[in-house]
Amino acid sequence: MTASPLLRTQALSRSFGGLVAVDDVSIDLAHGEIHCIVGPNGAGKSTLLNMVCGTIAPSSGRILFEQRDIVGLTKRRIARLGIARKFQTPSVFDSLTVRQNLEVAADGPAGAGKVADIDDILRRIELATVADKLAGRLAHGQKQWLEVGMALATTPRLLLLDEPTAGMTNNETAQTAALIRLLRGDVTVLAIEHDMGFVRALACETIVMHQGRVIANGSFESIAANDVVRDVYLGRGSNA
Amino acid sequence: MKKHRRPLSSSDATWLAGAAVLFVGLAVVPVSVGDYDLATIRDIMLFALFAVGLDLFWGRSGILSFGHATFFGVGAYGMAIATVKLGLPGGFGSIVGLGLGTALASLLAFGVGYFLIRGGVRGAYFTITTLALSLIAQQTAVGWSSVTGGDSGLIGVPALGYDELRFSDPIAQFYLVWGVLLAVSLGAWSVLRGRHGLVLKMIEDNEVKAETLGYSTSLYLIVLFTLSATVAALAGALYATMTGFVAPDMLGLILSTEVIMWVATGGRGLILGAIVGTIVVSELQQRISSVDTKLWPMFMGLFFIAMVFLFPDGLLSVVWRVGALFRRDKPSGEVRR
Repeated sequence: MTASPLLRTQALSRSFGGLVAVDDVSIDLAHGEIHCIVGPNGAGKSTLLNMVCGTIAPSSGRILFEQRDIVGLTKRRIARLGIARKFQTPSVFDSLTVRQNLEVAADGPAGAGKVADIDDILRRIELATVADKLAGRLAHGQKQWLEVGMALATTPRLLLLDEPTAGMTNNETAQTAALIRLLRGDVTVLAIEHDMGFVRALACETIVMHQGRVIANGSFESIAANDVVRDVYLGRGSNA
Repeated sequence: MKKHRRPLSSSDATWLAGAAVLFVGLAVVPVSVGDYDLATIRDIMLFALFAVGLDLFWGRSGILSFGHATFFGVGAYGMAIATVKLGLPGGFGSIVGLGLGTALASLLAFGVGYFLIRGGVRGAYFTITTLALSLIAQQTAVGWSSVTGGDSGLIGVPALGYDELRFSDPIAQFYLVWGVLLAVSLGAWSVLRGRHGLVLKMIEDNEVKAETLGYSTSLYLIVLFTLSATVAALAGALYATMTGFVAPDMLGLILSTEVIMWVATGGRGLILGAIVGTIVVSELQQRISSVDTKLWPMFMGLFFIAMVFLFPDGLLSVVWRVGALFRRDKPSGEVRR
């Protein structure tokens, strides 16, 4: 790899009491690429994501965003640097309309200075027909897309997605994968995902975590062919 | 920050029409009533101003302050201490008092807000802590008698004004209060219907999300709390100049509870709701207490329970729902905050 990565973690660890949730994790995220972290429950995926967006402080290690250490910055500062996060449970503003949700995201300090094309985002997330509906009245899957749209409206450099397909139907999952594939090249994406079907559909760089450690890293095909990964995760999850 | 100039929506028009009816209705009151009733209605409007102050914070942040009488009382005591205790020259004493009362309340609210809100205190915890604030304030007013006059308070607060130019005439006082209430209501409404109101809605819906979008949610809440307290203090300071005295119950728990009831009765977050609620509850209080003063506390409790069950969004929400039946552009039944 020639260019320096957008995000690099160096020997990142976090323990909760005696439990080491994330153990010596060093990963690189290349510009404009889509990356997925997979792994069974308790593998440390969410903790890793929480450290990147500033919700949890690491016990040790560094997080370099564009070669700058962001450990210790507040959530708001990190948001302003261009790291947007989509939460696991749909987290939109229920008493605002769909369009207002996108506008406040675009106009917020995190998106300041760049004008996102709201109508374009509405089309991409397939919510143009319900733009003036209150977000609280959307279906679950639609709320998830709206939240992805809000993250996009901040024109982020790095988009963190925490289980973007949680609670979605198969059809919605496929649509979500299609939506995220379209982002390749524009935005660097880091998604946490349980659903291997979704990761396969994304055909992205895949990082496998197990008990706090990265046990494999590479294209989805190479990961799917990896025996260790099959043992700890795919073996059990492949029939899901 | 970019400016948002929204055209008037139909619910904005409803609000303005409601405000027009209410304020024109209040403006013609002096034509038909005697001096005693005029003073009563003037006081009700001052309490309504206080309620608007609480509604600014509670209605827009969803966080209930149970100690708002503290700020009303500090406004009143600031006025009384400047004019009666410090004995500032009659020429400008009440002007200084107005400044002192509102400034003290703003500072107190900023200090309390800074530590509570920045410290992450929200919801019921904020309510309980502010409840303690009210108790502390009342104890201070009773105990620090060299400054506050203790239990009996301070008597002899002059009418607001400069030299001979004073609001001492009942009609002049009435229209002063009417004008201040109108100005504060319109001002609050026009600020809150814009971008700042939208940010506050976001904070009430999901503060963490608003923060991850880069909004300074704590700063918004602190400023809102301070403004809310300043309006309450303005009402308190004016009240002292019109009744001529201050007493410890002006910053006590009962007044803190009553103002919550006024806002809840009319409808939280609508500004006009706070005014209508104050008028309705005060009117009921007058009528019921005139039968037997012991009836009121009992009635107040029952009435409040009934309100919570029948109209949890307040009386104005009923008007709003009926209005929504005639409007097609908004989803029906949404109370716009």
